[in-house]
Amino acid sequence: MSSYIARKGPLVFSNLGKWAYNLSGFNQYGLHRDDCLYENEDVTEAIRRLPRKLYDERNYRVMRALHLSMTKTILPKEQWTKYEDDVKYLEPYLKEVVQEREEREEWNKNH
Amino acid sequence: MACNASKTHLLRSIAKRGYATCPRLVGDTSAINVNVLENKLVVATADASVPVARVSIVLRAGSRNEAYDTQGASHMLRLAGLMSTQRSSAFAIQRNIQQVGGTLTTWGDREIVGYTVETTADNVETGLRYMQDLLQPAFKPWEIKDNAKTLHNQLDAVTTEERAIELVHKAAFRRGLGNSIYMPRFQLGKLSPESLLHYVASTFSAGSAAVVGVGVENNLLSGFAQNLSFPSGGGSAAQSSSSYYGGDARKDTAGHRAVVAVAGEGGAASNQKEALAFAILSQAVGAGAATKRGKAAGAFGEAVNCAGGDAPISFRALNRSYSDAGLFGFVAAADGKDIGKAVDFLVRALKAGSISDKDVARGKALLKARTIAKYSSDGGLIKVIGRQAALNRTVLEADALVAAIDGISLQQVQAAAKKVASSKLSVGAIGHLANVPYASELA
Repeated sequence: MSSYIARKGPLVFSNLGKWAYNLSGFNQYGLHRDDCLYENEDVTEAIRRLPRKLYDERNYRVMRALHLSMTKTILPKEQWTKYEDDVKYLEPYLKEVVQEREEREEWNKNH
Repeated sequence: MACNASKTHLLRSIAKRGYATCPRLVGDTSAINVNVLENKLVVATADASVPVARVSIVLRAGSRNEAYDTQGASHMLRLAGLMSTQRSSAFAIQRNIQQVGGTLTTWGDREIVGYTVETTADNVETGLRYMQDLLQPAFKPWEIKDNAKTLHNQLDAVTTEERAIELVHKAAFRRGLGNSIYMPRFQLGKLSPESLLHYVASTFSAGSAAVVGVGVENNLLSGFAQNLSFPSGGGSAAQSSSSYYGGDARKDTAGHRAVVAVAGEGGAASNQKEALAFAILSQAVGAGAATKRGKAAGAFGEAVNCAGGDAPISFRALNRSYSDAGLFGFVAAADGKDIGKAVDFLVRALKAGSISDKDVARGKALLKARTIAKYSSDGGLIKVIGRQAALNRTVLEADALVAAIDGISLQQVQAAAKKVASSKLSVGAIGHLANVPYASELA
């Protein structure tokens, strides 16, 4: 669906951001930023709404990362996720889930 | 919660009371104002008998517009009242309407889908605000999945009699009008949001829709209707097929009971005289008992008496008029071993092709009573005018309709009886079908 197109790369490109991204290390496991979100209620719901393909790709990346962690290795450097290529695939879904939750909370406060 | 709901501004309630028209008497029929807007949208309003306002948006998006691959789309549209739209969430629609004590319902048939909101007269704006969003449903994939259970339950609740009627339509019209108003089971979970949105875009258009209200002022509703935004590319759907074929559609199921619907070609609503003649005919031959727990009189009643002995057989005349085609016949239900004989006798009555003037007079009286009953309740009235406004682009008042019924002559009713008698028959049957005849055996 057209309104759920994910943003690729950072919102504002900066060298500081790139340095911090590479320092965080999750990209060496081939993960994207949205793979590392803490799975609270909002995130779980957003993940549930993902289209099948994105959902499977996410699971693949997570499983690969767990395997790499278990074997105490990381991916070869050319397979690391690049700062510019990090896809925020969950963001549009998460934004909608949060909006819906806020709408509910607002309603419960006022009625 | 409750305190907030009952709060009304003093000044506002006085102004409302001052301007509101006096509700008409219960059981009285109301004058109907019809107004066609510049974008060809029809707006029709009538006075209410109680201070409850009902507003409907009626769209020509019924199941006859479905293609083979999109069967069930109109059922999804009826379900869309539960789902988010592009402008507001399901939560907002539901809660805001509930908060003012309103209800949002969906209804429809083979030709139309309607959304109705009922609120107290001073809360119309809230109802309208959320109903207009339904013109742009979002069909989010996860919401469709979440509502799959509801859909399942709705399908399970369809009675065998309704299923027999769906089957006879299938046999009679094959495609177009033959599409079921219920989603076929093989389509469950198969309709993608994209195809549903395409269906919406091709069927929702101002030129074929109507906005009707009971208990709402015409200029208020016209103002609302003017600002409705229909999906772009609206109304590109080609007129679907309505040719009559005839034949069989049978579904064998476990159990002893059989329900059989047999029909021939009936009257199309576009030919008003013929449609009314068929309506009179159906009342005359037995369209349900006029008294509670009574027996339907007429030719069908006699036929069943001859056939049944003491076997319990329920039957009802079946008369459906669509804008360009119609079906006329009967639905009968009985034990699997009694049904064959009952169908034989009923078909003989259907094929007789004649009707006495006494029966026609009784049929007319019954039809008039039933028409006026429909017009005189608010809930019935909104559907009657909604359907007429969407399909005919004009609305007949109760008096005009009663006069038209009076104007139908004996010959016209007899011509209707002859037409169905000489038509090829269609048989829709479900249940224990060992003794149910095929259409070719009935000829």
